Amino acid sequence: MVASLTGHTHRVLYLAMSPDGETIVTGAGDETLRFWNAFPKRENTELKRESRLDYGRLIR
Amino acid sequence: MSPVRAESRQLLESPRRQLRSVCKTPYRVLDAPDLADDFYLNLVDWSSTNVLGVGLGSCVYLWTAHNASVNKLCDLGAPQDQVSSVSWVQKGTTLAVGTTTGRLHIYDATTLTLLRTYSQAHNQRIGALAWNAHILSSGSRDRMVHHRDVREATHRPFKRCTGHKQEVCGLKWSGDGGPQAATLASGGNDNKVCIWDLRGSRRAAAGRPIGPGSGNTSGSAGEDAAGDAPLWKFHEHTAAVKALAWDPHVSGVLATGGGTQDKHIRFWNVLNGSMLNELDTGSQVCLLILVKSTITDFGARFAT
Repeated sequence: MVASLTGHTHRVLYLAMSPDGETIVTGAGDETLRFWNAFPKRENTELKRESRLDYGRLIR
Repeated sequence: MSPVRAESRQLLESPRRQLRSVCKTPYRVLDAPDLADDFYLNLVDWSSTNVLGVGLGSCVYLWTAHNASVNKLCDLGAPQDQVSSVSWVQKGTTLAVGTTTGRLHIYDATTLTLLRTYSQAHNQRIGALAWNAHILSSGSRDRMVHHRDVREATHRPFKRCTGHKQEVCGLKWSGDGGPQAATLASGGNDNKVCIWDLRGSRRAAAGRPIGPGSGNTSGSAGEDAAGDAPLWKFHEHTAAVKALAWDPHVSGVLATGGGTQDKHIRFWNVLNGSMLNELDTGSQVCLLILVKSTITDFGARFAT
């Protein structure tokens, strides 16, 4: 198992994933909806770090 | 020569397995008063246009993700009629709403208008809905799965499927192969999983490659091979099957999760009807999503 997300005080019955695949929402018997950032895009942050627009990296 | 043994060196030189870090706290919590505590319903669905639809009591609310605004889509009005399922069309802003009296409504979420109503869609509550392009499939406590073409004027379904002996609580179309080649999986309170092919294709008589004694082929054919009988029926689960998910990468692979008595996730090859794998989750499996080869299961855990 990769992870267990806890917080709901009743059984979790409903689940949906955002269209970008990063966020999931769970609905439970405790009458709340909880949003979890379960699948953050790791590649994105790495790409940002390596950006060619980062001029600081181009100065030698 | 190294003082480190070859096995140890191999261990040290192999790259460390990267563990996925998952944020353990929700970044947002919304109140959902009257959210029914019912295993058999499907009240939350997130659209491709980034709008979350939630059925609360007799109302459906829309939560728009990019600006966190809330809109009330509808109120069924009658106190005895409650929302029992919501489902977005794969691409677009059309939302189907099933109710406890067996009515089916189709809304346009951008204009918040009712497009059409099937007032006698089923005899009992509609707990599961699934879209395949313009085809809306609905599963009900009356044990039937109906398929309607929402473009047609008639209210009658163009196909009715009888494969379950109790309430149908899970429905999922496979996305692979386009809408024409899609297969539908349905799960029921009778602990069965049925696979349907609306094109009417059936397994050849010789399509039972492995005898019943080998225990490798677990699916059984429907009693009647013509049209309305399921392509496959899987009997392995020992509790109601609500959680269904198709593998987004491998065509014809389905994951199913069983309820309180069962607690297992099982993987099936729908092309030949065999079970590929099973996992014990330790709790009721309510829903499954398959993402990039990662299985996400959600059990009913009481967290305090």
